[in-house]
Amino acid sequence: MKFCLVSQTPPSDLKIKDVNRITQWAAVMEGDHYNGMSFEHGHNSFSYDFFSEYDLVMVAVRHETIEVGLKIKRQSSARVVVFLDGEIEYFTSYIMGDKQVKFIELLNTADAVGVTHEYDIPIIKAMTTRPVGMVGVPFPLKRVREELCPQVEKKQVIQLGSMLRNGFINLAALSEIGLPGSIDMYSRKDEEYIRLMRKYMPIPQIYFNFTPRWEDYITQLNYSFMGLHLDFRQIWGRFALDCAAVKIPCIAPDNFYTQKRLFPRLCVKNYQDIDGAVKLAGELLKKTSFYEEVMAYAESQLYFFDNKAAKKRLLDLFNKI
Amino acid sequence: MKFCLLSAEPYHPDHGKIYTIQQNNTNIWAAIMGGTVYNGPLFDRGDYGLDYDYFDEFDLVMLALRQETIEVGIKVKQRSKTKVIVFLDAEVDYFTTYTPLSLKAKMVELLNMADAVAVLHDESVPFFKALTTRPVGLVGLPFPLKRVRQMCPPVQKQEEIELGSSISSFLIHNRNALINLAALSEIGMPGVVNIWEPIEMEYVRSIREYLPIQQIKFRYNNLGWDHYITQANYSLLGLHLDNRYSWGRFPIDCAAVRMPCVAPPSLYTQKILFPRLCVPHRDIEGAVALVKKLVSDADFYEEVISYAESQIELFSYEQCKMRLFNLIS
Repeated sequence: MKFCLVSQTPPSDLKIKDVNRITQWAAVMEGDHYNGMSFEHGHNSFSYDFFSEYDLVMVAVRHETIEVGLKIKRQSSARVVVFLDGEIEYFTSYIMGDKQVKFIELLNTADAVGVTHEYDIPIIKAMTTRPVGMVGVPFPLKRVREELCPQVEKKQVIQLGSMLRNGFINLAALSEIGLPGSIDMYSRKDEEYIRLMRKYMPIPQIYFNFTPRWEDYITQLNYSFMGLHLDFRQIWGRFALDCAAVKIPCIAPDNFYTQKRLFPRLCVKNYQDIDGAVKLAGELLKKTSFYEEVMAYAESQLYFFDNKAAKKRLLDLFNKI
Repeated sequence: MKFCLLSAEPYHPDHGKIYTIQQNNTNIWAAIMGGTVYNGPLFDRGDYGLDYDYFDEFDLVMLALRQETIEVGIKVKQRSKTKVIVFLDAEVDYFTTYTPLSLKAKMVELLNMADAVAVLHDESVPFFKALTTRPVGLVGLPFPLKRVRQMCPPVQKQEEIELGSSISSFLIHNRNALINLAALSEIGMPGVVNIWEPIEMEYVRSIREYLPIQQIKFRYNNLGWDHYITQANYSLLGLHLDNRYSWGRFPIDCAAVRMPCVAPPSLYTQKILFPRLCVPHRDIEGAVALVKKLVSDADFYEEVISYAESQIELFSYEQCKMRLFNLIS
């Protein structure tokens, strides 16, 4: 099958392989990868009928790529699978009205729709007559286990899922837990803001990492004792999967599909459930058996996320077209 | 008690005067406290010709917290002797995710300088308690029930569903509008929506090509809240599958005009008024089932309305004032 991924990945990253990003779809399908906006602006010097040479085009939809997806479907003969490349709230609340209308049009023009959480299925099914399926993102587990992350001595450090998406709640929870944290930062200023907040909040010691390459990030994560991400978005959840891959538990809400599947006993009631997160962190720290049980369960589910299983889900969806 | 509300609402000629308009918005705090309203950023810019020590003449300043008012709140506290209560004027995600980290640091400073912090949902209390040593409590918005009941007598309800939001040309008003419309199409009943611009009618017409939405009526928001509530009174029920953790002005509007509302418990008013009609925001199937039960089972309809009626006093002026006084004392 000749496959092409069209996404909003920066042109410099289009060829990246074996990382926990959407680029992995092009890698596992051994296909090509184009940036949708660059294509639209003519940077590739092709017209849209160029896509007729592919059997399947996956359009990773964001507000920028909605029109691109429509044009691929209308101006080429390729089969098009729309892949929701963001939290469901992004599409239902955080894009402009005119784009929402085009989004519905695309969902009904495409041949199928791939989502990243089973909770999305009834929502999207109510918006389109096309087949809808949970596909997610392939995960390079073999590379993580065999190349990037050997077994190491874990440090008593909690890796926080983000400084941006509800990173604030992560910080509040960390303060209540009282263990040192580790955060990936986007700029030096982040460190300064945390220092300012520490004047008022009992934020424990924080290790700041700057790891724009995923390989560096996952290598760092491997040394943490557990992950924590109190995020409100209904989405795939790359963080919980990263944690499972490096054999550390993750505390998060079940609105991350990966969390729901890998760590059902570590799902908090909702993203504001600081008390629940503190309690679970305490149990993981105190009870080795609990830590081992949740990790054994996550390990038993990891097959679902590897390259092969993800490819099968996509092909199953394709076969429904 | 001399009371002032500082908000980010647009300029109004009545700013600085005793505020008397009783509608379901943040300004009602000034109306029930016999106080006044100023726009915080305009005050800071000097548009009212007043310095910050002007606030010394108030016993209590309520700062309606948005990104634009964080610095204003800090200045009120630093440059006057008044008591300041920070009132979270948006959903939790607005502060945790959609506010830049630089402003978050300032917000934490403000939350620790203020005399108290009022949140909109009981489930937000632990989070804000982790950010500040000051008292944190749920206060909410007073609701002008007496006035609504005078404006909205019992009427023959029409078989149509009032939607909490529709596709808007303003991003901030979209609030899961697509999910509301998707649910409406599954329910198969006519709907009514408030719109801001004529283009929003076009949006709905365009998606009807793909979603089997029955008849939908449009009502202009610029006719004001009084017009909206008197018209909403004719709807059979409300529906708002909103993902935000917030107060939820819509469910209480519904309860006030004696109609049930199907919505998630992340809207605090929904959780209190309509516990049997709570669904997760993503649960279209659950929402459809509840609406069908409300339409087909008159006893169920009456029971949920009767329960809401028994709880609505919690949102009265007296109860809200009591919660406010308890918090600042």
